[in-house]
Amino acid sequence: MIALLCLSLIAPLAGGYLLPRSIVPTQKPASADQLLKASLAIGLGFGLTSCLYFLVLLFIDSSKDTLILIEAVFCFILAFLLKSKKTGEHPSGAEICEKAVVQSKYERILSIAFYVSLACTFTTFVLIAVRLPNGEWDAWAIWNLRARFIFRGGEHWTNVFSSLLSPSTHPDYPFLVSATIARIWKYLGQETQFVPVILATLFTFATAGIIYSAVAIMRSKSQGCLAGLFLFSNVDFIYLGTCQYADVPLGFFFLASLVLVSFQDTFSKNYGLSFLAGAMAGFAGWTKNEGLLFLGSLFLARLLVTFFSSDRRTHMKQLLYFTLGSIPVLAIILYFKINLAPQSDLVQRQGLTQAIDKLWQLSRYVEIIKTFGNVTISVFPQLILLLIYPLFLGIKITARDRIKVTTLVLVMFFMIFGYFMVYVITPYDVSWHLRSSLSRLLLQLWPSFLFVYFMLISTPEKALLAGQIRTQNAE
Amino acid sequence: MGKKISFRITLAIVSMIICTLFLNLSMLLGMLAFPEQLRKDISEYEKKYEKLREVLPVNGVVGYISDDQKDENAGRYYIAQYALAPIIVTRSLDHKIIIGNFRTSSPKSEICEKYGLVTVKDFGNGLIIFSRDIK
Repeated sequence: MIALLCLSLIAPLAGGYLLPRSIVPTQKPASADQLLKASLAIGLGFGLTSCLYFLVLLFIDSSKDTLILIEAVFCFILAFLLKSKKTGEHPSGAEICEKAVVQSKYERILSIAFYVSLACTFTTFVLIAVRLPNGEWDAWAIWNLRARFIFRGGEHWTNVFSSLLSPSTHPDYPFLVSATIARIWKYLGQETQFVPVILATLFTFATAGIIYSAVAIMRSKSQGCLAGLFLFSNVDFIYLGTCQYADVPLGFFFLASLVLVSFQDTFSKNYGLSFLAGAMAGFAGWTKNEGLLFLGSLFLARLLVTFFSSDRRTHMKQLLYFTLGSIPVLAIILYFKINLAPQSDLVQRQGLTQAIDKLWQLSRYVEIIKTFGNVTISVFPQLILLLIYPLFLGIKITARDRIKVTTLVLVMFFMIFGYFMVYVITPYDVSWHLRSSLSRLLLQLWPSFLFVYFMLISTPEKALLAGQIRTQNAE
Repeated sequence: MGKKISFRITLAIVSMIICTLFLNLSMLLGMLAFPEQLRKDISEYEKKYEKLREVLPVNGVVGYISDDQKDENAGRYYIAQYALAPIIVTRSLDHKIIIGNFRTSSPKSEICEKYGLVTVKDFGNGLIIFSRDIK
């Protein structure tokens, strides 16, 4: 079984690794660079193979041999196409974003703390996974249930979209998580709860891998450790990951897209980065419906940045590549939504007039704002620390980072605004809807928020250097 | 002044480390000390349906009846759906095969009489397969 499991992971991980290896420029520190590419590979790989599996199921057949053959061909084509591609730029220290300019005395202690935190989180993760191999409600009632329909259903796998199924199983939700689980079961030839657990582990820790390595590359290693420490310190985020909720893979794709877009602003002519960001944002839409909001938000943010940019031509080209990257996945999502999935319960349960009527009910806004506040305080106790921290270290946005930071802040704003408006017009009882989903929606944004935050805050090294310079000037 | 700045930054970082590690460790210690705080895994409930799966068709739609009040303990229904997939389990009686999922091992006979259900097989533990004539 282990050999088959490895075989099932080869295609996604190898295929997923080829893309960032060929497109994302090699940067320093080397360990962070490798970790970033490996972490990106997990999302890209599972995203690609889930799309491929969905297409195979739809247009060919559901046999294991066909699947393996098609995936092997796909990997070879990908390897051939990327063979001739230059393996990224090797920018000099000055070209790379802000780098630590003084040897950090904090790096060592933060690294130790980060590894302690990683060990604690992993142990907790394993302990919960052993007790809850089927995960919590959403995992078995939605994602794993659909994986069972695909795997057990054979030719009748499309029964998963039957209108006879309870709407609470959300047959309209996209397919990335369920298709990935069913695909690995197909390789193994049997159903095992081990697979959703592995998937949850990979996505949770790959999210940590991305946030640590991206911040380490763009800011400093100690800043990357701090970002990782904060990610792990959120009990609810880790619990969601262990319980196999799709909100964690979704948060992974949000973060991956934002990181790639940020790299694009550093290496402005490497358009492959925008292409990959587009694909990642597309996979977010293929994971959960909220991902489509993210795709739209990121596109809109980049469009606004392009509009106000002094180098409009380059930004226009970046936007074009972003669109090209997202189009194939978007086409699959559209096919899925139009031909297979029933209408979303949010649309099904009310008409346009009823939704518009709700826009004028002030009490709804008041309740939503109150709940947003309460949930934020209870789910993110770390925010108090994050509010105080800049008072000690300061905020640092260089002219070069302005576009990058603008994009990130705009996306976060659009996402929060989008979630807010969904609650305003929800056909469900707004209190119930907020209670049952708001914390998860905010947790989806937690890794991205931390990334934006640690991009804005001055690094310990910079703060120390700035202090020393100020002291010298005063003397 | 330089030392003051260095101290201020060190203080901020050490505070961040202590607080984040505290949250992290409390989660781990909580799990080690009180593992029962987690809900039971549904595999325990799912076992109940293993024998049922053996006699049901591979695909198709079956009805579902229980003595739960509407929306009360909906989890029992969803576990049945999860365990029996890819069979579609629908909370309706307009089907030839109906699964009965009762809290007591002997369901009230009025339910059978009221809906015209005929017991096909009783698996014990409140789980029964009924058949029903659909005109």
